[in-house]
Amino acid sequence: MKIFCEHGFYSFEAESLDDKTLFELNTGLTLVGYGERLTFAPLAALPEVSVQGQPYGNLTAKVNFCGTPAEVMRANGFVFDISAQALADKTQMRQAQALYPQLNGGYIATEALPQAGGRYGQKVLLSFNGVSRFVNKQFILRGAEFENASI
Amino acid sequence: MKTQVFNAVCENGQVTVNGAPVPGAVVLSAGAAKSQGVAVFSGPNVFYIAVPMDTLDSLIDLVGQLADAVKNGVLASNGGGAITAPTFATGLEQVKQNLQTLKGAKQ
Repeated sequence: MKIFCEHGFYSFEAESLDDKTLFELNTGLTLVGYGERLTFAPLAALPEVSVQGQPYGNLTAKVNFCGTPAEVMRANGFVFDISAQALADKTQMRQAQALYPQLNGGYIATEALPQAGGRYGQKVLLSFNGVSRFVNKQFILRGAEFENASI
Repeated sequence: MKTQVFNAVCENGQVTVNGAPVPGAVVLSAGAAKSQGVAVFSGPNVFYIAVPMDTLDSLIDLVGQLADAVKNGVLASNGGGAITAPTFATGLEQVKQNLQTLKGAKQ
């Protein structure tokens, strides 16, 4: 299963027919169709416009913005909290991220799907793309975007 | 960057879409006092442009009143008599005031 996380907006691309089932069985998370990809149901329902002071998903928008839901989330400083299955303010995310750097510049996560907004050392994971390998229970991040933690 | 357009209203410089205020919307046209129009969302920017259909409707009505006043006063006089309609002058003045009011409301 290919994984795309664009500033906390997760989407998935099945590489084989049983990828969706395997993902759901191994993670306990449910995916829904999103164009040609899959995503989590709350993300699939997000609009492409946020209005400052008005509801956006389960939060209140901080800014006006029109773009893809991932762009709207970035503009508002929101990420998707995987365990809560809801949007969360990026600054409120405190999970420590267990990522193992690889020689090729990538990272491997072995515990769970990496959480955008999670801490990796002094850095905050913002975006990544990679694949899941359920045979050895690995999430392989081929590319990742971090920012320095403010605290 | 995506762009979407919504019906909007503007009153006293405050733009609202579906009743919800849109802080920071920039009014690009006349109509900040009170008007209906569209709000254009493009990336982080929101622009409001008045679409003055109600203004045009009112203007057309006032032009019609002006035509009636002329028809009932000046044209009758040219047909062979003096202007006898007692309300001719006040009628024209009222039309003029209505036009000024319409103009002022849409500044």
